[in-house]
This record gives sequence, structure tokens and C-alpha cells, in this order.
Amino acid sequence: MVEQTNSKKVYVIPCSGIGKPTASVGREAVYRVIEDKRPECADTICLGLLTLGDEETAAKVRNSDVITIDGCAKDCASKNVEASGKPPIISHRVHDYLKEHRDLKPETVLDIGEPGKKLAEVIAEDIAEEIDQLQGKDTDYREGE
Amino acid sequence: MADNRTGKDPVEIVVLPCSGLDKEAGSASREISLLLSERGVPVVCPVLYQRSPKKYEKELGAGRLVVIDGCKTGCASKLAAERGLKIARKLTVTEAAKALGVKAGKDPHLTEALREMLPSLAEELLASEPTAAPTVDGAETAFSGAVGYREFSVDKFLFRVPVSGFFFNENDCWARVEGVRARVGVSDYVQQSASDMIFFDPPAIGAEVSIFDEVGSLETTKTALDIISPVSGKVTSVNQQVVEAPELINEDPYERGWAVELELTDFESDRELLMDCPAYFDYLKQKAEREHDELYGG
Amino acid sequence: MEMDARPTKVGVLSCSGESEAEGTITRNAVRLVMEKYKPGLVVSLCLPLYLAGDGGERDFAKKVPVITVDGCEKSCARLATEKYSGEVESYLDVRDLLKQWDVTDKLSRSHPGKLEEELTERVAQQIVKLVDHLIEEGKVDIGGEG
Repeated sequence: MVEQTNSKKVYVIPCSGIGKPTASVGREAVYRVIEDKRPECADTICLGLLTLGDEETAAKVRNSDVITIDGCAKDCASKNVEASGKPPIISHRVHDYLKEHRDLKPETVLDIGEPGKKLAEVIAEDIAEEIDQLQGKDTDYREGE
Repeated sequence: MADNRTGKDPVEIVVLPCSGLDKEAGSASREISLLLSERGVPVVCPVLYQRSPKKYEKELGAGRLVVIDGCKTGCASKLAAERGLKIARKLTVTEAAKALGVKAGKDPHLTEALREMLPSLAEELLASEPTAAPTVDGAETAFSGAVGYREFSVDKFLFRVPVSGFFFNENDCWARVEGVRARVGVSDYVQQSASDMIFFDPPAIGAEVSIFDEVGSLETTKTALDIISPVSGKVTSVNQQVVEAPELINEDPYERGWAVELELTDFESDRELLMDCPAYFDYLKQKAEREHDELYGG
Repeated sequence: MEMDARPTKVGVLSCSGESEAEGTITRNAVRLVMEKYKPGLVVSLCLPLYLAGDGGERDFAKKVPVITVDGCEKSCARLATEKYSGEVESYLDVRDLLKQWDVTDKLSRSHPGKLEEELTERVAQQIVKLVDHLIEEGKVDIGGEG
């Protein structure tokens, strides 16, 4: 039987890269998850703190699941989280979603615009579902039941 | 052993499933591959393949690769990409199940609803045709030779240009020529400046291309651009790996990220209009220093 | 920090600050300086890329004067620079700045409003001052630009 971590928060960490609008989309998606969709069971931490070995931050994620969302193929969030000793349980890339939603290209780093916000919403929905599955809270086991 | 329904030999495909043991979708991935194995399809164990890639060399060379991922984490797809395998078809169990109104759960034991779907998913994989143009296996051609590079930096960006064997046009597209064939792609400068590649629309196989014609188009998170062919010829293949994962161009623009292969028609004439590697290096250095700040803001 | 005589760029490294409102202000302020106030002179360094060790960020930071801007006293950007590239020329702690400015309102990390935008602008101006100071000290060659 798979051990469930129902009582622990799931940490969702964006790369927060400063150079690309897709990084801003990842950040927006994370905020939607932790503030709107799953505030009671998800949170984020500063990637910099984790990577630099801040003990308080490391302690938070040590016994929790981590989901990362990267703004580009450099995969900094996923790599940095892995380097901290706690590989993410799920890694996402914003541009994988862009491939499926070609019309939702974000505008700029400082303002991703409506298309970017919609893209962030799509990503956030997926992550919220994943959190439900990780926490064993998937009560809608089958559609229509 | 022939497949009675399709009339095709099932060993035309080889399957790489994920090894997800912690959830239902992973179990489904395994179950589908077992069903295919019963039909004579070779199955690659992902764990063993990680440790001993040579073990499956023969099978992977003989069949079209079908990847089965349990979920969107895509472990099997990522393993295939890391090993430079070309994926002919991919199945993600959670997505296929969702399309049929079924949700795969956290418990790894298969439920009746998901189990019922698996034979039809396996049949679909058996019947699937390649979805894209044939590619040339790099290991079998002269294009597999090692490439040396020179580098220069502008601000924090490091740009690479091959030392020899490539020819460039002023659109920063390259041709790597071997005999009567050439591979075509975009330079490191393009992939860095245009940002992350998300789509590659290839040309048709058999298309006749003149020098400076468009031979495929790319879309990035920032812009759309055409690949402007440095050479004239007939398109003989496209890089299916790049079609599936355009980010390969960002990762390796001169080697694994090649886009199109052509049979040359008049390279001696084309060559006069192109820059060789040293000339392109000098040209690009000046261009990058002049344009980089203006276009990309640092 | 190894520096060629008179580099022509200034590197500015911001923390990523996902979990704090000051982090969002920091990130946006650096971007504002780079895009609007000092385009072509300021190069923003990407902290996650910097920490991951890829992309030429660390080498570049060794060649130019670097200003770090952190959202809080944990100082991720400054610590990362000191660890991987050398001393920073100057640094800002935005939380500290907000205290100096007597900002006591609760700020949003995810939905920056008018107040957050004003504060972002003020922080950007602080960064601009630091950049100008580097120019005055002759630590960067602007070649007639400003």
C-alpha cells in the first residue's frame, strides 16, 4: 500500500526566472494553486533559500512532496530542488503547456497579459489535481459517479 | 508472428513503458506493455535500460519506438529523449483514460474501469502508423562525426559556432554537408535569441527547395521564424525528434537539433553565397554585439 | 571579483522571492530598471539559472560590477553572488527599505496593486541610484550613454 502524506503540505515551486515571460506564467500558476485553489494543503518556498541550504526551508520540504514548474528547458527549479537532496515528485515545464495551447502565449515578463493568465490557470488546475492525488483526496474517482 | 487484425508484423514496434509502481496509471502502463508482449512486441525494461543501455540495442534498432507513460510526469518519454531515441508514438495513460471519462487513482491496483480500457489501448498502439516523415538514423550516416566549437560571449550569453564543416547564410541558418547530402538547422545565436522552441512545422518530404527558400518554420515562446535554407535540394527527411521535442534545438542546435535533410542539387554554386565557419564566426560576433542589446535587452 | 578595466555593463541580481511580497517587488523593480531606466547598461542575472550553474551567469558576474537586490534579510542573491562570483559592489534589502519608508500595510506577493506598484517604482529608483554611483566612481564605462 502506498504511504500517503495527507497531513503534509505539498510545496509547489516555480523557477521564477527573471528573463522570460514563461517564468512569470509559472509563478502566477503557483500563486493560483497556493492562494486560490488549494490554500489549505499547498504552499511555496523560495527556491533560492532551498538551494542555498537554509535549514528552515529545507525542514519544510524534507517530509513533503514537491512539485516544480519551470519556465524554460533549463529546468532550474527541478534541478535546484533535486540538488538540494529532495527530487521533485512531479516536474512541469510551461512550454509543454504552450505546445498544447498555442494561442496562450504570455506577453511580457512584467505583465503576462490575458493569454498568459489563462495559461497559468490551465497549469494551476493540473497542479491542483495532482495535489489532490498526492494527498489521497481524489474523491471524484470517476467522472459522473 | 503476424498480427491477424492488421496484417502487420508486431515486431515493427518496440515498447518502452514507464515503471510507475506508486499509482494506478503506472500499473496500467505495465499492463499494456504485457498485453503487447503477448503479441510478440519487445518490451524494454526502463530500469534495466537505465543501467545497461546496450542490452536493448538490437530491439531498439529494429522497431519503431512506442513510449507508454502512466502520467504527465513522462518518465519513459524523458528517458527516451535522454538516450536520443526517436519516439514514433506516445501514450499517456492518464490522458487516454480522462478522454474516456475515467480517472486513474493513487492506489496502484487496477480498477475494473481502467482494466477494461487496456486491451483497446494496446490494439491502438499495434495499429498505429508513424505520424511523421521518415528520419535518417544519425548513427548510420556521416553526420555523426564529432563537432568542435569556438565560442564568444556577449554580456552573459555565450555563443557557439562550429569550427568546420558547416556553412551559414545571413539568416543564421546552417548547412552541414556530407557528399551529396546536407542537414540544415538554425544556429546557436538563433536558439538563444528566439528563446524556447515550442513548435517545428517541417516541410514536405520530396519538396524541392532553392537556396534561401523557407524549409520549415519554428515557433518559440517569443516569436515565429522560418528556417531559410542555405542550400538547394530535395527534402529527403525531417528530424522527427525535433518535431516531437523542438526544445532539442535549444539544447543542441548544431547536432541533435538538426531540422531537415536534403539531397543537394547545386552545392558548388550555393557555396559561393555562404559563409564558412570562420567567416560566420566573425560575422556573428559583430552582429551579436551590435544587435543583442537592441533586440533582447540583456 | 575579477574585472577587466572598465566593463560596459552592470549586473543586477534579484532574489526570486516567491514566498514573500517583497520578493515580487524586488523582481519587478529589477526588471523595470533593466527595461525602462537603464536599458542596455543593466543586465539582469537570473537567480535560478545562477544557482543551477548554467547559462554563463556566474562567469559574467565575475567580469562586471554586480548589485544584488534581495527581498528580505535572508539575502539569497547576495549570498549566491559571494559564493559563486565574488564580492558584490552594492546591495539592497527591500524589506529593510520598506521599514525605513514606514510601510506597514500588508502587501500582496501575487496580486500587486497600486501600493505594490508604487513601492516597486521606488525600489527601482534606489537601484538606479546605485548604478549611477558605479558610473560616477568610474567602475563602468558607459561610453557617453546614461
